[in-house]
Amino acid sequence: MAQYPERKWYSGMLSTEDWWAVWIAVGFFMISLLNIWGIDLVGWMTYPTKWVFNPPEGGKGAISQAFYALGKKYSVSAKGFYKGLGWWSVIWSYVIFGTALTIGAAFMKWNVKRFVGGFTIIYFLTIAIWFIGHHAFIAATKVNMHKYGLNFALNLGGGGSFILALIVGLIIGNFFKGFAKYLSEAAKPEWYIKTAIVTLGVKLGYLPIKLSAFSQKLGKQAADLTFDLFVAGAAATVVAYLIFWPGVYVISRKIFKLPRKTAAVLGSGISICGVSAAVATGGAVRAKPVVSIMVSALVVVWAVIELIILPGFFTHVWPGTKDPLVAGASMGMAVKTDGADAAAGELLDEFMRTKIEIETNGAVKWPEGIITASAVMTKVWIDMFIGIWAFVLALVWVYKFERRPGERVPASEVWHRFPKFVIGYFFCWFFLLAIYFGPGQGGAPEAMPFLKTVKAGAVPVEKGMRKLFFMLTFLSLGIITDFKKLKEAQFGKMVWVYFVALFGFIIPVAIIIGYLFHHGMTLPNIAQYMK
Amino acid sequence: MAEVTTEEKKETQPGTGSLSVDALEAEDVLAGAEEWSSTETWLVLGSFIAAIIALFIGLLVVPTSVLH
Amino acid sequence: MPMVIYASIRHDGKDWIVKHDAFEVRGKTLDEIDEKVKQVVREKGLMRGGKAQVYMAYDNNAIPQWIRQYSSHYFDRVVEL
Repeated sequence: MAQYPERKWYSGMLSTEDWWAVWIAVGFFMISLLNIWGIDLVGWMTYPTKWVFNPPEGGKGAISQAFYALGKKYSVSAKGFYKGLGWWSVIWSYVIFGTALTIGAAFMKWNVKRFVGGFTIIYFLTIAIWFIGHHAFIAATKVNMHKYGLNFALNLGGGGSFILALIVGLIIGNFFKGFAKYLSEAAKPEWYIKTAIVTLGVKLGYLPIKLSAFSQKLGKQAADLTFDLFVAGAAATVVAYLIFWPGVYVISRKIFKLPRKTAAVLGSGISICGVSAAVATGGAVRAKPVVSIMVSALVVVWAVIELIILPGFFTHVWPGTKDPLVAGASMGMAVKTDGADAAAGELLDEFMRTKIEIETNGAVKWPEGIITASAVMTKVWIDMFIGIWAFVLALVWVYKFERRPGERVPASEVWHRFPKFVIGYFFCWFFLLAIYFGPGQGGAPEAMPFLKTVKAGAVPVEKGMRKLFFMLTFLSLGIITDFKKLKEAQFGKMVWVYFVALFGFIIPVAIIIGYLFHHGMTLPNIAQYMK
Repeated sequence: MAEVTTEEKKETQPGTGSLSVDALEAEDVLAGAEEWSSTETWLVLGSFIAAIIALFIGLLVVPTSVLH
Repeated sequence: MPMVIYASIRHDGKDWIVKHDAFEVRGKTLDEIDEKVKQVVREKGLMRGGKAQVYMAYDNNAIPQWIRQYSSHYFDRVVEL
């Protein structure tokens, strides 16, 4: 066998994070569908609930119930069994998810021993933070705090846990660098978020099914809304990117006097999808890989700074609860890397839903996940678009600038750069939509018993698995972010190009374009159907 | 299959890669800006024009745009 | 039909390195690499009908592991001679 074989279209299916995000998330999704035939193999997925040390009599919040297996609530065929799991669901989730991820790590030829060690610490740290973040003082709102015997709460909803995870991660990443290095084999925010984004596809497909349980009309409205986000996200992303890239390129070249290749890689790195774009563009313009690596090292730090600032800004300054999907879509176009963007979208989702509930005193409640989906939708489009843009840049560089005799750009580059996890995301979404419109009869009342079995499988994946992987992302993002990097001399003026381009150009343009395509989109109100 | 050398083994060790930020020649990356060329003007303007066309079509076609 | 030669390419911080079962070349620039590759392909008679296509696939293992989760593909390039 030749040592350097031809790269085939299926190369990397067993050796890249992108594909492993698909195998793991789609795998659990397919297993979840066995519920249709009465076999529930996913009800063990763990989920936290709010708790207090001294729950009021007849109130909520016993510590013994702080973690439960989602099958307790949603299973059709094994409710009794999953009800008995309680806190043990934490261990079940550790063993089963840990095994799945370790198989992936082994195929990707990582150091398995270090991965298992790192993952074990990251997982249980995540659970501890999730638990603390769900103390009612942090997670309850003034609408529901009385159920837990509290007169004051921080009103953070599930966002409190995410913030805590990020803070703990950043403390480890910045002050315990040896420990962070040990954890680095398992601190893979982009892998976790890609897996979570595939399960977000399950969420999108499940949304109409969920709302059909309230009313058939609401279900249809949800299906329409997700489709609108799909179309608006595509248009906004293409427009934004074609403005961002040349803008940053000109800023880098004309104001900061950077060389062409560095400016091109920065243009992509700062524009939308950060590291993956920096790598794609670096390759396309035939830059030495160090250029992409330097830009990437900056991107990950700035992305976390955006993650810290933007969700709060969009919720409390502008546009607030008036235009939650403008905020979500803009977030997707402004925050670099899938991980930081999806995390920022999820935080925004928590903040916005909590805020609208407080503002209306509980009269308006939005279903969770739609705002996150709006932030991820624009990002998913850009992840796909960058492959095409990188191909265009490769043509320009190879045939116009460098013109090496005999060099040609293979068209297969577009496929090799395609973000494969997106396939899993769309597959899960459209598969569930097909079930909803097909055997689910568009949410007709007579199909509800059937849809309930689909729900029993979908909820643990779109809620339990998704939130857990988001938590792992927040913690891992913190662990790999070292703010000191910004002070390193070798980055020189690139730090400033980034700062100027990001805050002076990218974020404002993202907001304007997000507004042009998403202004006035509303979320369905489910308050009257909730207990 | 050719024998894998020690150096190659090192390169394929997880986590190593063959590059790290510490091993860069930063000057190389930041210095030596070329003259602005007409191809760049063409690329930048082309991209902006494509954006305007996409924006125009998008606003007309996308049902949730501000024009609707 | 030209002979298609599959090789790997990577950059070690100083040089570009192209490896194939039958040869390995190093160079500071891609131009230098291309010249050397063409020369060695001719010398070793790896062409068919006087033509060859060298397909250089960037070695994913040379991308630092922490970056691979974001994007595992750098570039593939083809040089015809």
